[in-house]
Amino acid sequence: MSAESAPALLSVRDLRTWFFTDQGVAKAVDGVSFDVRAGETLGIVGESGCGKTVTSLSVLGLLPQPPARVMEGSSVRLRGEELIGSGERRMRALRGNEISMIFQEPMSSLNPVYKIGGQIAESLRLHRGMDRKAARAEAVRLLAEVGLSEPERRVDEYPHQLSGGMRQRVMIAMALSCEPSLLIADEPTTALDVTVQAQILELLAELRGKFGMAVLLITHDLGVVAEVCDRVVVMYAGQIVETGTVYDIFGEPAHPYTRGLLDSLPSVEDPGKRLDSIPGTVPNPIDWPTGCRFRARCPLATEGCELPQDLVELGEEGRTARCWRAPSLVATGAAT
Amino acid sequence: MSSDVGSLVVEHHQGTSRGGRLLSAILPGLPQLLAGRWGVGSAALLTWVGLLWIVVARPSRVASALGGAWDEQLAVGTLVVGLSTAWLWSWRDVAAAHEVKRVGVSVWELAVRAFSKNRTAVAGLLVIVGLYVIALLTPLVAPYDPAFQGDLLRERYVSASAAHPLGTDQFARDVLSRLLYGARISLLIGFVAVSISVTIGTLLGAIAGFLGGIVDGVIMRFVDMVISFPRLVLLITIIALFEPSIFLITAVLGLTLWPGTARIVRGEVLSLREREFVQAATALGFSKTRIILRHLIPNALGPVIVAATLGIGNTIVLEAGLSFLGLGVQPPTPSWGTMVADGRNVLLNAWWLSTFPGLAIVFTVLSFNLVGDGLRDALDPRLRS
Amino acid sequence: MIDRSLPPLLSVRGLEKHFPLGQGMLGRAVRHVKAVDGVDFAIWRGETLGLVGESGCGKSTTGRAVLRLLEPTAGEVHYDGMDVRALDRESLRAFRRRAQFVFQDPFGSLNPRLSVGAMLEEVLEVHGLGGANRRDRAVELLELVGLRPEHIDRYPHEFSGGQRQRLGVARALSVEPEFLVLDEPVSALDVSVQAQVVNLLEDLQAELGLTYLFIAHDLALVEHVSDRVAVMYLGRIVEIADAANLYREPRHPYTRALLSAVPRPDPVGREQRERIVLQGDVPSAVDPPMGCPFHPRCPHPAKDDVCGSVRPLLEGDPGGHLAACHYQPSGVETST
Repeated sequence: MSAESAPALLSVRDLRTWFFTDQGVAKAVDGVSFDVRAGETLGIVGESGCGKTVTSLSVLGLLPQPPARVMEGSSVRLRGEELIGSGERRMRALRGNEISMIFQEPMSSLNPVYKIGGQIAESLRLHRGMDRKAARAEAVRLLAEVGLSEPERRVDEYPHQLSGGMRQRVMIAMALSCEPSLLIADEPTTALDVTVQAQILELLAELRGKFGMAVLLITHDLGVVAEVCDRVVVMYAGQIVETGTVYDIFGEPAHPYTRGLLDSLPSVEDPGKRLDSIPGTVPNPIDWPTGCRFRARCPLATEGCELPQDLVELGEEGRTARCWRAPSLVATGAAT
Repeated sequence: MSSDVGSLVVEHHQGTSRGGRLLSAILPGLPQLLAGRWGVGSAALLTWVGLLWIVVARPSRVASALGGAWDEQLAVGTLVVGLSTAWLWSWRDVAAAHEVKRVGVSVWELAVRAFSKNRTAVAGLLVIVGLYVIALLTPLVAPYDPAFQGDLLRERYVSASAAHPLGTDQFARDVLSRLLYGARISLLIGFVAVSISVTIGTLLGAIAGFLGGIVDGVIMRFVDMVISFPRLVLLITIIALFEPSIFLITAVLGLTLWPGTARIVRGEVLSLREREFVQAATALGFSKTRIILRHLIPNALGPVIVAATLGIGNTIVLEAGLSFLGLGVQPPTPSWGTMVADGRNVLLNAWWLSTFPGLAIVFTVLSFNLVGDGLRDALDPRLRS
Repeated sequence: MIDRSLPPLLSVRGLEKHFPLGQGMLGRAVRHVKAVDGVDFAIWRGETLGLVGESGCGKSTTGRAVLRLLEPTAGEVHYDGMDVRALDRESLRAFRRRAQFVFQDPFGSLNPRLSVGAMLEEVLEVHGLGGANRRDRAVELLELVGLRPEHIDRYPHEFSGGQRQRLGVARALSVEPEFLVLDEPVSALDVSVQAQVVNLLEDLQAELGLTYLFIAHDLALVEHVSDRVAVMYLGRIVEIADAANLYREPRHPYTRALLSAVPRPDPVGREQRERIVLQGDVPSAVDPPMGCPFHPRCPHPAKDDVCGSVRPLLEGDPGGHLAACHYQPSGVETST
C-alpha cells in the first residue's frame, strides 16, 4: 500500500506559522518539513499545543490572517504547485476538490439549518457543475458509499437527527464528493466512542483502497496511528521531533519524547505496571525553550542538549530524529 | 514583537521610579502620563488639578460649607477623599512599578486589564466618574443657587457671558448652576434605581435558576407579569395618585426594571448550575445559600454589570423623558428633562436653554453605553481561557 | 489488602435513574431517559472498581447517583451498612465527608473566581476541619497532590490541565474521605500528563488506603488501574469480573467487541488482528430494546428470540466473573 519511491503528492518545507498576539508571538509551527506520497497514510502525532492542527490548517490556508501569519520561506507544494501565496481563489478551487478535510467535531462542521443532502449537493454543484437532480442522486450514492443506512431517507434529514458516527460519515461523504487526492483528517475519531471509531477507521481504510487517495491523519492517539498509518511524524513544541515508518516509530523510537509518550501508555503485556510519565508540561509557544525544546522534561538530557537540535538522519531514508544522541540511543536499543 | 514592547515599558517604569516619586508628589498622574498610560494618568492629574483649583479659587466657600447643609458637607468630604486618593494612588503606583509580573491574577483583574485596553470605554468611564465627582461637588463649584433668580428685567434669556457661562433662563436663573444641580438628580435616580433593580433581579434570578421547579415557575411568571405591565402607564397612574417626588420616581423605576436582570441571572445560573464546580460544591456538602451566594452569583455577575451599566443610561433617558412631560421631577428642582422642556418654546431665541441639558443627556448616556460595551467585551467568558 | 470476606464498603442493588423527557398535559413526564436501569455492584474497602462503557451508557450517572449528587429513581445504595438513600440533610453532609467525587473537566470543575487557597479553606471551614490554621492545612493538601506551596494564591486559569486535575483531587481529599468516585479523571488530559495523574491517584490510594470507583471510557487505562471491572451498556452492567479475567476471557459479546475495537499502540501484526466491528449505533435509552439491550447489534452466533424477549441477568461464577448473556461460554476458568 505504501508507495515507497513515488513522488511526493504534498510537499511541505520549512513551514512556519506564527500567531501575533497581545502576549507575544506564538510560534505554533516553527520549521516543519514533510512529504505525503500519493496513496499513503501519514500520521502526525503529538499532544495538544504541539502544532499539528495548525500545520494542517496552514496547508489548506484556512487560518485567519492576522493573527496567524505563514512566515517568509515557508513552502507547501501540491504536485509541485506552490500553495503559499497562491491566492484565495486558487485555494478555494483546490479545497474540497484536490484536498479535502474532515474535522474532529462533525456537528460544528455541518450547518444545522440545512438538510445533509443539500449540503453535499452544494459542494457537488460548485465543484463538479452538476445540476440539482444529478447532485441529489450523487449525494444519495455517496451516503451509501460511506455506509449510511437508508441513504434515500437520510438525505432529507438534518444534522441533529444523526448520531456522532453518522455525522462523521456525512462529513466523509462530503469530503469524498470530488474524489480528492489528499484527505486531511484532523482527529476524525476523537469525539467518537471506540466501537464507532473502529467503524470510521475501517471505512477510511476501505475508501483509501478504493480511491487511492492519500490521507494525512492528525491525531493525539498513538493507538489509532499504530492501526492505520504507513509513516509517522511526531511533533513537539512546534517542531518535528521524529519521523519514520510506523514500525520504526513504535518498534524502535529514537527520540526521548516519542519513547516517553509510548511509555506513558499502560503496558499491554503487564497492565498493572506503573506508568512512566513525562514530568512537567508542554512549554508555552510564546516562549519556547532554547536549545532542545524537550530538554527540561527529558530524562536523558545532558551537556550538548542546550544547543539547538537538527533532525539527524538515522540510516534509512525518511528516518530522522531531532536529538543529537538519537544515533547512539537507537544503536543501544530501547534503554529507558 | 509585542513581548519586546512589554519589556521596554517595564524598563521605562523602572527608569522613572526615582524621579517619578518626586514628580508624583507634586503632580500625581504626571509620571503615568509620561509612561504612556494616558487613561489613569489623565484621570489622576485632572482630579488633582481640578480639586485643588476649587480649594484655591473658593477657600471661603469651602470653609463655610464645612458647617453647612449635608450636601455641602458631602461635597467637602468628596474634595478631601478625591485629593488624597489621587495623591496616594499615584505615589503607590510609582513605587510599585517594578513588580510588573506577578501571579495570583484573578478573573476580575484580567477583566480590568482587558477593559483598560479599550480606549473609548476608558474615556466613557472617565466621563462618568467625572460626572459623579462633579455632581457631588456641585455645592462648591456651582456659581449660583439653582433657584436663585437674577434681575428679572435685565437678566432673563441672557446668552453666555462671564457671569453666566451658559446663559440664563426665563426666570433669570443661571443655566450652568441648574445643569450641575440637575446632574445630581439624573445621576442619583439612575444609580439608585438600577441598584434596587440589580439587587432584586440578581437574587430572584439566582434563586429561580438554582432551585428550579415550582420556585422557578412562580418567580418567572411574576417576572412575565411585571414585564408585560406597561411601565409608563404605571408611572402615570402612580404620579396621578400621589405627589410626584424624586423618591417616588426612583422607587417606581427601580421596582419595574428588575425583571430584565432576573432573566439574565437566571439564564446564567441555569448554565452555571450544570458546571462541575457547582456540582463539586454540592458534593462537598455546601449549603444551598452558600452555593448561590458564593459560587453562582459571582460567576453570573459579568452580564449583570453590563446590563446595569446600560440600565443606568436607559434610566437617565427615561427620567428625562418623564420630566420633559412634566411627570417627573417637579419645578423648581432642576432636572435635565424639565430644563429641555422649559427651553423648547424659545429654542430659536434662546437656544442654550434646551441645548446644554440636551447635550448633557446625550454625553452621559453615550458614556454609559460605551462603558457597557467595553465591559461586555472585557467580561466575555469566551475570552477567559 | 482487599479482604472480600468482609462486607463490602459500598453495595448497590437495582439502582435506577430515569430523567423525565418533556412534559405531558398534567405536568407529568410521559417519557423517560432510562440512563441507569437496574445496576448491581459492590466495592470492597481498598479496591478499585473500574466502570467502563461508551458515552451515554450511564456510567457517569451511576457514579453521581451513588453519592446522591443525583437522586436515584429506585434501588438501594448501602455504604458501610448505612442506607444512603435514607439519609437526612445532616447525615448526608456527614456522608459526604467520607465519600467524595473527582470530576472530568479540569476547566469546569473549579470555580474561576476563587484562588486555590480560598477554595480549599472554604471546604475546611464548612466542615470545621484544619483547626486554627486552615491555610497550613491547605498547603499540606497541595503538597499531597504534588503542587507547590506558592501555588496557594493562584487562580484556576493560571494552571495547566494536569495541575487543575490535581487541584480537583486536593479539594476532594480536603475532607479526608475514604471513598472517591473518579469520573473520567484523566480523559481530558494529554497522554503524558494522564500518566502523571494516574500515578498520583495510585500513590494516594496506597498512602491513604482509599477505595475508588474509577469511571472511564479508556479500556486500557481501566485495565491498568482497576482490581475489578464492570462494563456498562445502555444503563445496565453487562459484565463484571476481576480485571485480568475480564480482559483475558471476556464473556459478553459486547465486551468482546469493545475490547477488539480498542486500537493498540503496536503496529506489528495489525493486518491479522481479529476485530469485531459492531454495526449501527447504540439504541436510544428512552426506549431500550426488549430483552437483552444489546441484542439488536449482537454478533453472537447463537442469538435468538429469547435474547429479544427475556432480559438476561448477571450470572456466572458466584462472586467472581458475571455476565448478563443467555449464551455466555460456560466452564471457563474461575477467578482467583
